[in-house]
Amino acid sequence: MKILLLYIKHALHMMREEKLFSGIYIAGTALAIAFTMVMAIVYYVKLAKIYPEVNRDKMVYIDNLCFMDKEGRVHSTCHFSDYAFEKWFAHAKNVEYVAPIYSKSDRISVGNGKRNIIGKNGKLIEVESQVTNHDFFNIFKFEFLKGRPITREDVEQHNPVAVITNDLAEQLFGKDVDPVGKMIGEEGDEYRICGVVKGASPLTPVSYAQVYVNYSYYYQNMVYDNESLSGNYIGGFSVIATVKDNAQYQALKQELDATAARWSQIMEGEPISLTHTMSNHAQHVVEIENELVPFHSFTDWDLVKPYVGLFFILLFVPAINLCGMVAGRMERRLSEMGVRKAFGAKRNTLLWQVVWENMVLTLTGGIIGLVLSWVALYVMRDTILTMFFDSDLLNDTTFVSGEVLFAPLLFLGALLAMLLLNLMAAVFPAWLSLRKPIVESMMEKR
Amino acid sequence: MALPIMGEMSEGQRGSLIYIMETIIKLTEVNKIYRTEEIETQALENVNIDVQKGEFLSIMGPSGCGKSTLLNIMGLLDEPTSGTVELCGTKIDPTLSDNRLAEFRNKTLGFVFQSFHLISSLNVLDNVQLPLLYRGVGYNERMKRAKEVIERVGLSHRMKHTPVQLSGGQCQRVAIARAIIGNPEIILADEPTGNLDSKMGADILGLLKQLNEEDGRTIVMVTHNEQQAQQTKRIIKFLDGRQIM
Repeated sequence: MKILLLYIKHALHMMREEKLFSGIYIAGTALAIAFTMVMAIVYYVKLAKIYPEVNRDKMVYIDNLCFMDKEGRVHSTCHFSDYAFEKWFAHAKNVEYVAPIYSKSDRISVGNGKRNIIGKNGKLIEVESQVTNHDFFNIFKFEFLKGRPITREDVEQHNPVAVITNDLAEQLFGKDVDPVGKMIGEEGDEYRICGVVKGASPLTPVSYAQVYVNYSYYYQNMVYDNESLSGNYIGGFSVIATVKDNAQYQALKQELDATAARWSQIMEGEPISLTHTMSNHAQHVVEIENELVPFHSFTDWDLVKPYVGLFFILLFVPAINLCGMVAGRMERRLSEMGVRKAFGAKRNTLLWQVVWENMVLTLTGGIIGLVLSWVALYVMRDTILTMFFDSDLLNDTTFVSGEVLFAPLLFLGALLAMLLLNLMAAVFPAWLSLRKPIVESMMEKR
Repeated sequence: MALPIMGEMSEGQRGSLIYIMETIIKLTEVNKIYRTEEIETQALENVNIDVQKGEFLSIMGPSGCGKSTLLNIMGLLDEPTSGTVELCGTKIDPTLSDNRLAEFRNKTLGFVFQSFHLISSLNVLDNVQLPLLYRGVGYNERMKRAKEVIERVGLSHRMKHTPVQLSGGQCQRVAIARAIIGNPEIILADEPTGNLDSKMGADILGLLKQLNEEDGRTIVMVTHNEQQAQQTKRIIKFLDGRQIM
């Protein structure tokens, strides 16, 4: 412990003595960590289990209905209608839960996500809505502050019910009024509020909305003509489900392939696929980010290579620079190391000393980097979030929650990144220098 | 010459000996050759030296004659190209591990260098206690002993100063305190007065003589100062890597 304190004392003295070196080292580390932290926070939001998307490890996305040509290639794609959902997915055996959701593209280009409701003062306000079923609230674990979710009975009986967020409830009715049982919407499109949830962030776009309405009520008057089957399947929905494990995922794939084969026979001359765009959460995120067209075949390497390059730039390039700086500094300290060895210091002891000195610098840089990343996310929130998230869904209230900023896993990851930087930058050049003969080291100009 | 041990001595012999001589440093047929791609330089040639325990030996010679190389080999800071080195009865095997050599240097040897080689980022107290730090001595004990030796070299009032705040003579006193704190059998001093004026030089030499006479430490000093060398118990002269006297 005492020797550790001496190392730290020595490191602090060195920081005062070598201000330029220490400053550049700390700034380099801080920037690398800040960028890494911003990226880590962004990908934590996209990939980790965060409210209310806590089932991400079990989630399955089926985005498109694909029409195939005779050679087995996709010639066109579309989203599903509520009819298609009912026929093909609602009663699937190999799922835990399955729900229709407005597809991302339809929410934006067709405006399916927007809905007008009458506000407190009688004016129409536009809110973000989702049209879905009861299973949606099993897939996404919303915290119900009041009331209940949409139920199976609501779906079966086409009840005009909706779940709203606490922020919208407050905006519409104020703080002191219980919104459960009240009606929202506009004439001809009204719903009774059955529950109030703690809202999701636009940073979790699959679960984000301000109003969640019962899809069976919304579509109850649609007429589907069995004479023109192909037209009946096209709509604005994607499908989201949860499976217990990989075995069930594979079973679901087989089940949907069988369904598609059966319906392909019914729709003569137009084979379809329901699994061509089936993906888990991580695949789904990467597909969207890289704008991989759903029927494009890609390998695992295609998926990860942009991130490998990104993290290489963010972590390793600064680390290599720092490595060069430490090597230069070790050359200047050769004489000191020689003296220490002359008085009995072992090579490992000195190596640890260098590691600790750099640890002090790296930790200082790391802490500054962490704070910088939080400041950047606060001050440059719009710029950063627009770069990585769907800007159409972002609004003034978009926030990065404390759960994300202070997530233990993220912090551990950042610490590991710092350690990696430290090891790369300090140990190797120090180890090389310490292998030099003592006399040679001591004769170096100080 | 084989030394008689006490039990084998006659009454007369015992009476005539003040102390029994014991070889503490033994160099046998030591050669040191520096090789580069173009040139080969023989720094030491067939050097044979025995240093007795309690001796104050000076090695003299002009610049480049190999005296510092010899001292470095004695101090295990450098390896001979051939020949053997024995310290305190232990033959230094070239295959000894880095850790074992470090331990040997730490416990047996103390160094005083011409340019002091103090660590500029540490104060006097921390510089002096370095050998004990690497020996694993506890903090309190280290501090106690460091203060004792600093007091002995007359720098109690400078304990918290860093080397840049000290004069050359004071720096060399710190270096001597550092050399003796671990109670080593042997002190190797390479031109300890070379960077000092004559008064400070005499002062430092006096301190080394005191360590030799009062503590019985063995001191090997490299110098080119004839006058200082005369004050030691034995002089070895070197020229072109060879011992000439």
